[in-house]
Amino acid sequence: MNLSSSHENGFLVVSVNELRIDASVAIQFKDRMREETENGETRVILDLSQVDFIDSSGLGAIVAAMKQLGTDRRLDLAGLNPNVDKVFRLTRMDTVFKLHRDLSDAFTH
Amino acid sequence: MPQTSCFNLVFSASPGNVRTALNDLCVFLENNTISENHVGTAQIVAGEVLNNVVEHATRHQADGRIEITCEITFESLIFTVCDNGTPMPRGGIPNKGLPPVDTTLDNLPEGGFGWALVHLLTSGITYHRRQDKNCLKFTLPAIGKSSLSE
Repeated sequence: MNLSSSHENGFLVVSVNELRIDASVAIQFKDRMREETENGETRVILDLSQVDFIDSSGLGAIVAAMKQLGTDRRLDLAGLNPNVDKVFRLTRMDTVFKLHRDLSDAFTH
Repeated sequence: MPQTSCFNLVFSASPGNVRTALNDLCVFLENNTISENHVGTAQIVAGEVLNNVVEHATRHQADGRIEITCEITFESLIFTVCDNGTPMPRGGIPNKGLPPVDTTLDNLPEGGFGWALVHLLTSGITYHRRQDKNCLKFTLPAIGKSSLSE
């Protein structure tokens, strides 16, 4: 599971360098997110712009990643492709996460 | 008579093979000029159904096999998914609604979305157990049931 992170504009940006977050990688994703977000800024943005498919296991892993951050930090999502956005809206998870069009939108809102 | 086109794939049940099957399904649908939106919806639904087989029905068997068929008709995609795994619990399709998301951080659901997504995006879903096989049929209308699927 290829994740990378950078520090930009006071945010910790974690990029998912994969096409899919699905059942076969959901646990790895959760573990890698723990490593990438162990230290760093209070506000974390998950850049999903390279991801073109998530399933319910992938969605659950993103929720788990947010829970790992605890109540003092925050996880926003950016760059959702239409199929990824659809899963968030259908499951009402768009009401739990703040979804940004892209990273620059996330930095300014 | 409108022509129909059919996709059929038999594979051994594993998460990796589900990925490959979904990829093949998407290529088939794209080659048949199904819109990007509907290919996306088909992948979401087929993914949930196939993962469910791998994670539950055939979980404890080495010879788990899945057959997926997708028929393109004039106005819908008709899916059949059969497997040689254990029967559905209580002999039927779980009719689960969405888990509540209006809750505290600690209580946010990390699962339980799969069948809810399938019910939201399909119509006419049926389940049969015959000759030690599970057989699920469902239809994706060309125009999604929910405006959210658009």
